[in-house]
Amino acid sequence: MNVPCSSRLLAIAAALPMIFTVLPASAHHSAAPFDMTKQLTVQGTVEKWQWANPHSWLYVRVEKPDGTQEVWGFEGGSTGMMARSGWNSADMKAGDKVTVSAAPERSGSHIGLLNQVKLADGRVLKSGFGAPPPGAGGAPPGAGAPPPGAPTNNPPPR
Amino acid sequence: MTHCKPLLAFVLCSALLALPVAAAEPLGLTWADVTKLPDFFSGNWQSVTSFLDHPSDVPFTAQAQAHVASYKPIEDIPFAGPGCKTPGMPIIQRLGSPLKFFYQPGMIAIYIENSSMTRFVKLNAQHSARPNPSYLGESVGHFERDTLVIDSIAFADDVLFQYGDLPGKGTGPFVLPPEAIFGPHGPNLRMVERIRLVDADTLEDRLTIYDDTVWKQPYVSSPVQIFKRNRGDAGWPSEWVCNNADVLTFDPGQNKTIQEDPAEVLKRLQQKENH
Repeated sequence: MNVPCSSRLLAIAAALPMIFTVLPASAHHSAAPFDMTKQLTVQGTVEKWQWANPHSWLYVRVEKPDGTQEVWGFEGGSTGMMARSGWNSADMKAGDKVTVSAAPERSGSHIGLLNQVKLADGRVLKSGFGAPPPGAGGAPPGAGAPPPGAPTNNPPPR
Repeated sequence: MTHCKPLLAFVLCSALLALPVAAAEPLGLTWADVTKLPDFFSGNWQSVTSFLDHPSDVPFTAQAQAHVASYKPIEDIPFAGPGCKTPGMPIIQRLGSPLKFFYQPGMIAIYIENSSMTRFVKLNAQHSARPNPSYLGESVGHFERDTLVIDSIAFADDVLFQYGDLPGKGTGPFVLPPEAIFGPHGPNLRMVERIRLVDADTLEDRLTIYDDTVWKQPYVSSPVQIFKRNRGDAGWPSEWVCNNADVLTFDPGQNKTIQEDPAEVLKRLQQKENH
């Protein structure tokens, strides 16, 4: 997997023991392209925060140790589900410094399934694909649930 | 004649007891009825169960068996292409974004946030003589005590219709598209749902599907679909308009996920913004 290796890359593809939780499914392509057993964390600068359906996307420019840059795309949930998880379209804008945690795309492209974002002011946005409702057996909205389908590495569609 | 008196008394008493029941109007005809209905209406309902069915042992017809024998698994969801085409019933209700129930006399409407579609269920009514096909079907419903029974017919030919799962597949908590078998449904496809509250914040939807071109017996869908209630801000419905700028899409024609370099997608989005 072509992941930038620098101080900006805080953790790469660390296998995560996932606890079972009931997670919301949502539409369109499934989470099959992502390796839900792994998590990567990158630091970079927001290029665009696209609040959209079926998926929101966060584009982040990451500087590599050799000075070159690359653009990463992180896929979030639908706007309604993200709003229920405490996210907002105004949370990020171009130029903001962020630290992003995500499940990496399997083939090594610069794509991830959004888990959480730490903003420059220290605020942390969690459950980037949408949190389950209270009482669903998972974490409450905003508490940071693992990616969909984590226990079996067979995530539901989102 | 004397010996007939007990029988006569029994018949009269039975008739009197039955009168209030026979005279009672079915629920769902007046505004006041909403206070007598189970509270499906506060907040919204989010699916927490697999959107595709678990394996079933309901026997296939010969026609369906032939389809299953030659079936090639799909890599992802057929409706994941451009335009976000709806899968139709029943899968559209199960995709995670919540359902919101509304009532007016004679109708219950179910807003499906995913795709911003709404089902309209005509209460205490008959199906149309010649219903046109649609992705949600034509639905009529009535209450049996605390249970809303919805009977739906007239489905579009291309709703995403699951026959079952591939051998040995679909046993996890969430069944994935590559594990399932999809196929065409018959012209008389009928779905009957029984919807009720399990507790104040849990709703279940038990679905039986009737299609004698696919199964030899009625197909009882599994798992029972469970929905959890969102309240407060989370219980407020959102709009859902499809955006086609995804970095990842699935092409059913090629049966593969199509990726674009995020840098290229970003460039395109920024160019669009600047024009």
